[in-house]
Amino acid sequence: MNKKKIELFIVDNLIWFIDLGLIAAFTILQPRFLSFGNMISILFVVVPMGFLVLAMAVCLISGNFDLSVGAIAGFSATIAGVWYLRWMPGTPWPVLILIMLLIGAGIGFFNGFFIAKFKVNAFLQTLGSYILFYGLMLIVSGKTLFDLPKEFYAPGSHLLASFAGGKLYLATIDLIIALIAVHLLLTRTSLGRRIYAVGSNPKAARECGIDVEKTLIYVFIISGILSAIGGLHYAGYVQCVTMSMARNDLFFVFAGAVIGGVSLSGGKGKISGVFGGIILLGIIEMGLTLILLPATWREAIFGVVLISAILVNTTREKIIMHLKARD
Amino acid sequence: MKNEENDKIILEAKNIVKKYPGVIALKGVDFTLREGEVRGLVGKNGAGKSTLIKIISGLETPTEGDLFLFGKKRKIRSVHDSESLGFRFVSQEPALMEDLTVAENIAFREQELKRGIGVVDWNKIYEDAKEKIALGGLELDPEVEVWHLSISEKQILLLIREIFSQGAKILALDEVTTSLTDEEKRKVYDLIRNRKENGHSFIYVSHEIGEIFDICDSVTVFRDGNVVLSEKTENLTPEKLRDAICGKELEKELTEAASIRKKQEGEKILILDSVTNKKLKNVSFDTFKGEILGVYGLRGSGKTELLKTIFGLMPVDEGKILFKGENIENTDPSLLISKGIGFAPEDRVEGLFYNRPAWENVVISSLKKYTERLGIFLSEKKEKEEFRKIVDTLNIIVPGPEIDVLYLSGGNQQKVMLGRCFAADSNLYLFDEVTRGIDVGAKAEIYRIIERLASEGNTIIFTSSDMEEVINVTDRILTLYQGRVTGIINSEKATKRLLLEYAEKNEVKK
Repeated sequence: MNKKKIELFIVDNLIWFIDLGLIAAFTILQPRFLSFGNMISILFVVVPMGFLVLAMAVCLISGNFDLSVGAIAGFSATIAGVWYLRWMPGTPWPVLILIMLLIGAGIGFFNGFFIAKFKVNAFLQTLGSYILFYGLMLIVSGKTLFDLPKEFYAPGSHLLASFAGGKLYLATIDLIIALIAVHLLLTRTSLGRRIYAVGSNPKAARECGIDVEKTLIYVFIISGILSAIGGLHYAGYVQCVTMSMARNDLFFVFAGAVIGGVSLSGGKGKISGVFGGIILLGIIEMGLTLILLPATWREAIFGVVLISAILVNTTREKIIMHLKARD
Repeated sequence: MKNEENDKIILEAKNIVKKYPGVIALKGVDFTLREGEVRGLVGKNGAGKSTLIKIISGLETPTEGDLFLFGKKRKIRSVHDSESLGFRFVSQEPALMEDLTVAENIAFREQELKRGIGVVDWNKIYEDAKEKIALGGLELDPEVEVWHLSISEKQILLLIREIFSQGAKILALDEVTTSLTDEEKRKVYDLIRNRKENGHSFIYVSHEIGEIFDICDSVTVFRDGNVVLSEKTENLTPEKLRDAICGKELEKELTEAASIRKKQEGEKILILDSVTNKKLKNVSFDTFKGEILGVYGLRGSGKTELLKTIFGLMPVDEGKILFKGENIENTDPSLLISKGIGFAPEDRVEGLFYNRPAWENVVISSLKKYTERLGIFLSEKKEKEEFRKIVDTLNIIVPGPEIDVLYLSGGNQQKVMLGRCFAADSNLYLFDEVTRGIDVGAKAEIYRIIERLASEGNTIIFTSSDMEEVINVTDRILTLYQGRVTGIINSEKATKRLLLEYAEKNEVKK
């Protein structure tokens, strides 16, 4: 019985053991990897993508997914940039951030409304949004936007403190706050309870008096807002708004959430696991940089590591079933 | 069929045990089937019939026991294994490829219709299909796509496809006649008799006792995972068979439970006034405070739809529904729950959140009760207190609140679903077939829960396809036939015969 409990604990928190294993592996290849400075920068490089992983996780838990997270990030940042540079120069930065959040919420509502009310397939709807909003970015701006206010870049780039060879950025704190907020939302509020219920069994949710449509619209609004915050951090990280912002990150975003233990079929997943998944993405990113792998190899290696991690995690579900059924 | 001893035994299952987590589905059953025999396999839902068939077809492997086919011990690990031995299974829900034609659906089973390196011989496919359709007494165009067919045509199509498929020897038919008219049934019987002469053997699963005597040579009765009767039909009477299926113990439990409660007559809680929609025709009745109203009807009678209509899951086209004097037709379930109506659906898979913890499943309908601080945050402490209270009252066996509902036994899953209505403080409980597929002990407990609810002044509307249960648990019984009310009977005066008469008749004089 005790052995079983330990086994269950390990499988339940498998992502953290995968993280530790990878840290060990990279340390063997490059001892410098284990330094404090490096560990803390892992928590910095993944921040922009981390917000998108979080957005995706909420959607997956509700039994849906959102392919447009990257497009929302890019489009909202582009509008903020064009607003400041062309439409209304001199607009104060808090207004710019507010505009971004509203755009994120708006696109989220747009996605959620069609998916919930008209039963449009989430894949098609959000794929459509992905294409539409990356397309609109090109129409609205078409080129990289520089020279936005310093404060606008601050959330993604402001250095809070330097100590013991490591640098702590505001972005890391932002992500952790977001993780805690989403965790509280999912586990401590009735909206969170409803999101899990809708993801687990929408038909039963309806019979339990849950307004499934409204819940889904909320889910996509939350996803949109988180994606827009992600866009703000992408912009800060590179000190500009590029037209290809987050464009190649979609697969990693999916992978981060799934490796973090969020079920693709809905109703299952916790934010602590998602955090572990986000960190995994950071470990791989930093690890591949530090072992000085040729650029041509990076993408492929990234893919191999991710696919193995996803495989391990899929077997996890089966192991849990097996362990729990074994009395 | 004269010298049965000399007939070849072609299928024999010896001492089959099948254990699932938390449930023993088969407790060591023996089963034999002879060449050219039609053997009825009957028993209530959850008795183990389908488990046995799944084991023979290779969908499940037995925990213990051996299977012998054509005199040899066999290990059947997959459907492919059982099919190569001549076993075919026809289910009551025709699994056909809707977008393909009738001929293509038939040809799907036949390997030799391919020519050379797997090129399809279309002429042969259509000829073959035409021939089989004619043999099955069906009038169908082999080139029509399957989705155009009616349910009964699909059922017969599936039947002829399997019966005439190459190498078929043993056929298991699972309630294949439920969707058929009397005339279609006769055609199916003729087909079975015809194939029997050719040495085919049939396992015939049915819930209708009459059918067993119409078509089966012998019958095996399962109850709670055991074989309780195995006999030739000519030596049986319908009464004997029914007793074997239901068992005596249950009846005793039922009569005891019923005697505890005194009947109450009081205010009308729910009134339906000529409610009409897609599935219901002019349904009118009312129920009292503290009453248990049974709803009985055969498949397709509209029992489930009646409850769903009251609960706002199906629209009302015409007519009125009054709950405590208030109009509630076409109201959203969330509002009805807060007014005090609770609903437990027929199918646990439909009603439960399988991959969520037990406690969440219980409190999900009543989240408002546990909200505190800013009206946003839930108090998990309060939620778990409620869960513990419900676990105690309903005697739910759970290792802990965090266990996913998936890992509970059927009876406990069912109680979790009832517990959800409790937690929401309902006054009117709509229970749809809540005792289906759970064992006798759990059933008795659920009856007691229902009785107690009623004695506390709540109203219960309880549908069931188990006559015994309906008669013994309820105060009055409403019978439905194709969406119409055919009668309301006082349970004390009800007999199975009377119920069947009402449930099968179109017109009933009041």
